Amino acid sequence: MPLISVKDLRKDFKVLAHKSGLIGAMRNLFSAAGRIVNAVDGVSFSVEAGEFVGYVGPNGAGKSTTLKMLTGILVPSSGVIDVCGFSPPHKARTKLARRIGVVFGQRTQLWWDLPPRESYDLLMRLFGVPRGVFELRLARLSGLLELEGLLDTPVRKLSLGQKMRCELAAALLHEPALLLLDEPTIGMDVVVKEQVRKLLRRINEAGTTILLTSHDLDDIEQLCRRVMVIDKGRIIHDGGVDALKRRYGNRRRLVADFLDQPKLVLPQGAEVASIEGLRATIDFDADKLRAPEVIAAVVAGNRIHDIAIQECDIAEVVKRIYGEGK
Amino acid sequence: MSSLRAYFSLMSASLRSQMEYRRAFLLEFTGRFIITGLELAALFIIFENVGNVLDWTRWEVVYLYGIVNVTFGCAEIIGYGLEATVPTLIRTGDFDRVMLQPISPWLFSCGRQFRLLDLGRIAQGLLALGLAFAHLPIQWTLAAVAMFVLTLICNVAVYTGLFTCAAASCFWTTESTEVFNAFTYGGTQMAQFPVHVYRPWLRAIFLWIVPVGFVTYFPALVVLSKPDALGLPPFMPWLSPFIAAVFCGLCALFWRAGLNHYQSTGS
Ligand SMILES: Nc1ncnc2c1ncn2[C@@H]1O[C@H](COP(=O)(O)OP(=O)(O)OP(=O)(O)O)[C@@H](O)[C@H]1O
Ligand SMILES: [Mg+2]
Repeated sequence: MPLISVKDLRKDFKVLAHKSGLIGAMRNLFSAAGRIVNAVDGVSFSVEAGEFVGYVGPNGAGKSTTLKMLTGILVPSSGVIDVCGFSPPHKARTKLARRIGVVFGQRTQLWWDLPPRESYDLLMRLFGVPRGVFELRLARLSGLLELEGLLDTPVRKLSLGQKMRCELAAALLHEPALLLLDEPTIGMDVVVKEQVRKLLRRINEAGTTILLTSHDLDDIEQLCRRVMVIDKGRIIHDGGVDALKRRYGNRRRLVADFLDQPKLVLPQGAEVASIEGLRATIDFDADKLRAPEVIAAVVAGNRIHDIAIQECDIAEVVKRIYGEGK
Repeated sequence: MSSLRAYFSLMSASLRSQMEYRRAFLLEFTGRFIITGLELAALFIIFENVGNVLDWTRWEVVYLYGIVNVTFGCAEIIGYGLEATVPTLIRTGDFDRVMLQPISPWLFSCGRQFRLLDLGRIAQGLLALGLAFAHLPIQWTLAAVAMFVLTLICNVAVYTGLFTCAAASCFWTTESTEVFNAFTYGGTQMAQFPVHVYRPWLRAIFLWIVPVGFVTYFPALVVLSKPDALGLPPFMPWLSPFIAAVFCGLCALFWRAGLNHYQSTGS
């Protein structure tokens, strides 16, 4: 029995030309006019317990809208959703809230004027977690997320990254079976990002299912075994990260540093991505060309200082998919 | 039971985040006490000039004033969060978070904000009730006691229902709250006088549509042993709990429809 199963899910928003004033508001209520946005346009997928799934796509693709329907915040226009056995989620919001943890990178669930510790205390009461258990969990989470110095500062005085770490702890205190994360690493520096990734990996290994959206594709590549790509409300890829790379071309990248200005004559299937000073970046299709051929072409007639070949990362792949869509 | 406990935890959190502003709180409490006190004074001035209002004496009207202010104050304490937080949360999309709580969005919203200054209104109302009781020869029969308790409960319920409707309307448009305020605050002003002084159409609205007049006027007839100037059947006072329940039921349905209509915001 999958933890999430979604079939032919749709969400349309009616965007009205805004009319102001009370009369305008009344007219808005009853007018049929307006532009329809198909934010999510027939999406189907399922997630098994224990998976760590990445959900990526360009701005406005429908990621957040999908997550809001999974959590019961939005009522779908049509389609079937089952999350943790609740179908549809919006008919069992308070029960579902006990099974899932949700982090929206742009929103806070902490009380703005209170220090995180008091917010946690409140959440503990809302969820009915016994005090002893709660203290234990908080101690563990604050160790993992390094919250010690932050717990007694009012939330409004925390930096974005600090707030996000507190936010993650808040979503985990009731030990949800499913974690839905919408851009959780937004605003974090590299070190903190690394900590958060480590934490997420550990939580996942302990059995929590995680669905994660992020514009930082390193998050996806390092954490997720499976990735779903959504564009314009439709899922255009659902499978392993490796499969995604293979499907959209096995690209490699060659970076060469020259001793003087190079003259480059490249074989079919290879192209210059950029030249900055004496450094050239060349992308090539590893299915059509072998690396030695490209190196030979680059070296011929040029004085080389250094040369390196890199695996193309998922960022490149996704960028190319988006490019195709447009 | 557990959600009630959660509700009080929320209230105390709201209080604690207000504690930084304790001095402001004292000022507001006193301010509210004085403002409602001025209303009461205005009542006395009216009666100095006109004697009675269609067979209702000064102290009988002070009784109505007391009931309205005590119950409206209680409803404000219960539902102030609806009025103060929900419109903004909906507009900014932060209502998302409210939907993710393990207690009902309604209870959560109610508990989210809490103004101690509403105690000022309640204090004023209690003062008025005390004065009225001291000056009126009330027969505390079983029926009178029952009606007194019922009028308190039903009034609190109806005002809380009104706050709920105002908040629910924000799921469609956040510009509608003024309309509901007209009913809520208009209702408190109306109900301070016996409903038969008003024109029939206005009276009908506050008896049958927004029944603040109903649940104040009819029980008062029993408590104060007064004849019904409207000539309606004598069981009307006992209909109060049903009228209040139907009204609250409709408010709850409206709120539920609002939740399901919530659009969030593109973030
Ligand atoms: N409440 C709303 N009302 C109207 N339109 C909306 C609303 N929420 C989202 N949309 C529209 O639906 C589409 C999908 O939005 P969504 O927020 O799901 O995108 P996203 O994939 O999360 O994008 P991002 O990466 O920028 O967060 C967008 O075109 C957006 O404008
Ligand atoms: Mg988004």
